[in-house]
Amino acid sequence: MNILQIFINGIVIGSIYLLISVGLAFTYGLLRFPNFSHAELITLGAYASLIACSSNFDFITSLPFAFAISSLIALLVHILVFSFMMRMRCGMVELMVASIGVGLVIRHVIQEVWGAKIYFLGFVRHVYEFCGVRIADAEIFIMLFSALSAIFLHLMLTRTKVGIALRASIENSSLASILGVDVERLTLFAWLVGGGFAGIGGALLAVQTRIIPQLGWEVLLSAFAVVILGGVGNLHGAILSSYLIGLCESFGLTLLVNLGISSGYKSAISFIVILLALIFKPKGLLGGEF
Amino acid sequence: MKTKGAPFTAGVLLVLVAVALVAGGVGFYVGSTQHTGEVVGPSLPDVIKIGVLLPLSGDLAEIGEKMRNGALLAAEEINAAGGIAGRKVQLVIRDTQTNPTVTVEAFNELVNVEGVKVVVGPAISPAVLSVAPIANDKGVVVISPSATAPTISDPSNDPNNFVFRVVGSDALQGEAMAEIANEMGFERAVCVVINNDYGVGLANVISEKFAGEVVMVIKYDPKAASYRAEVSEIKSANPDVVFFVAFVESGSKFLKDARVEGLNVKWISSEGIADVAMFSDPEVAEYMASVEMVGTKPHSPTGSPTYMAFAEKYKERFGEEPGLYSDYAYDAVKLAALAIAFAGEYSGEAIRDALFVVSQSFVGATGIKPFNDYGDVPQEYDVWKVVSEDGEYQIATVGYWSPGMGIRWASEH
Repeated sequence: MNILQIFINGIVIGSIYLLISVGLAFTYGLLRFPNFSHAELITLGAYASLIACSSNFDFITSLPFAFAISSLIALLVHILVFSFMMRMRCGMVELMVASIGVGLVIRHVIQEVWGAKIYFLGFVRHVYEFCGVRIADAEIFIMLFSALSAIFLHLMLTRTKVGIALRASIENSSLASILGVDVERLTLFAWLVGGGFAGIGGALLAVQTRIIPQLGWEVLLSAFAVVILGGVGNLHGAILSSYLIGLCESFGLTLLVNLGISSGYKSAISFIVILLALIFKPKGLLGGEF
Repeated sequence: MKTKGAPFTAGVLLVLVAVALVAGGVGFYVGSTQHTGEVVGPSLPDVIKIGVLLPLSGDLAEIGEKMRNGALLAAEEINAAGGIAGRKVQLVIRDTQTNPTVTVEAFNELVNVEGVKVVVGPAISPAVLSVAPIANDKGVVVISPSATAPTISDPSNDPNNFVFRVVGSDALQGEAMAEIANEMGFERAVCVVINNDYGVGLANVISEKFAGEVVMVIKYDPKAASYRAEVSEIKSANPDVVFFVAFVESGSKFLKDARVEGLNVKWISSEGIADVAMFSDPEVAEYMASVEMVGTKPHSPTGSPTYMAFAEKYKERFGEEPGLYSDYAYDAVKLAALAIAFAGEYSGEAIRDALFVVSQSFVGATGIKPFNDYGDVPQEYDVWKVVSEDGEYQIATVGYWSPGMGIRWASEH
């Protein structure tokens, strides 16, 4: 057992969780419903990166493209479906079911366009080894990129007007709007940033794995675990809990294997974390502070 | 949020339930409006339906598509030759998404809405085991081209003998895999298997037949985003051989992580990844070639006239080489049609009884298929190896295994 290797593996997967759960935390906090179609924003980012890479752009250049496509679709979905439904005074359950529907539609459109074929971005990652830890260049990039994104998000939320307004609206949107915050415009901003980060997360996940129409769907459970553990709508909590869930999965699996339990129960680790969070910290790790 | 604490927690729980339901594979199906549910009489209907249940998306999408092509080719040949007693054969094809839950829904739809009495498929063992009780209950014949789990032969899973398969049980393949390792003198093994009936079934057989010690069995989750932790554990178990039972999509993910983790051992795999689809990722191709991965797959008698005729027609029709199990799907459709013709009526019981008879003298693209009492056939296996020639990767056949005879190597390996 190489503790450092397990730790790094957990940080890498946590870094991806961080990027994909930002948007989920935003929309969960602002609009008060779990957006299941968020999975498809992740998947779309991967396919966007695939398009860019197959048109001879390098991977790094494909990331802004992934950001753009996913945020664009996120905005469209909000304007066409969720914003419309909220004006009709639909509740959380209706919005949630609608988001499952939106997700299904996007996933099947993806499947119609690209087929069920498995795509690969086609890179051969270079692997470095130091102190007995093996790590690929893409993984170093993922860790750095996600750490920088976390710093960027922190600065945005604490130092900029729009970030402070966003936190205020998540805390209490009607009070914020009385105080002069344009909540609707802020919501569009949240979709734009959240969707974009999901897209980049999807592209990075694709480098590590492969591209299929269910790509985002496979990690959605972990993303929900992050958001719930972090405290619904709490961005700082989500950042912290991304790494925690990543580490829990990495160390939890090592434990499962060493106990002789099927590692097929790996996906249960996120569930157990959510359950423990709901029992002991129902308002999230940072206890409702923003 | 503070004011809404309690209802929000309830909401979160609702989300959990929804995630569980949807993640568990609740599919949505848009029903066909076509109505043909006439009562089946003692003679054949005007159009003879053969249901086809194959994974056209999900973990086995790449392989499922080529299997469907094999089935299509068989039906087209039958129809070009005049059909069954002048009646056209119609394949009613449904996508199982490599998911047993979706397979059961599709199977019910084929049986209850389309009135199908014989189904070619499903491809994977857990899906076959899920439809087996319904098939027995409703009297519908199931012929799987590729489900290999030993438990399918168990009479408790198939009491009325409605489930057939044209490929041999993994009780044989597991023996073949273990024997390769035994012959190479390996002593410490780790089994890495996909967490379903196929993987677990093979792991059990391998553990029994391997002469050395199986120090660890990892049943991996095909949906996981990373397998670094698993590979890390394999590495610390320090085996000299890894038995690998996987499907293409999750298998390639696993091998990508094995490459990064630098796992340098001998890999012995089953037929689940013995397809060129594995080489579309250069990392996977490079890794498979660098560790000189070997494996077993059900023997295709490529030199036989029946196989060569099939392969030629397949290439002409689809413009590519047949994939893993294309030939087996082709034979399954041919056997179904033959049994319907022999039965002279479109009923599950008659088709089942006819299958036991017609199969005894059937020679398909994949060889002879004499069904025994459990609907099983004898099976021989090819031993394959990943080779790279001038940057082109190939799955080359390097040996041959038959029960009792052991391995015969084609040449220097």
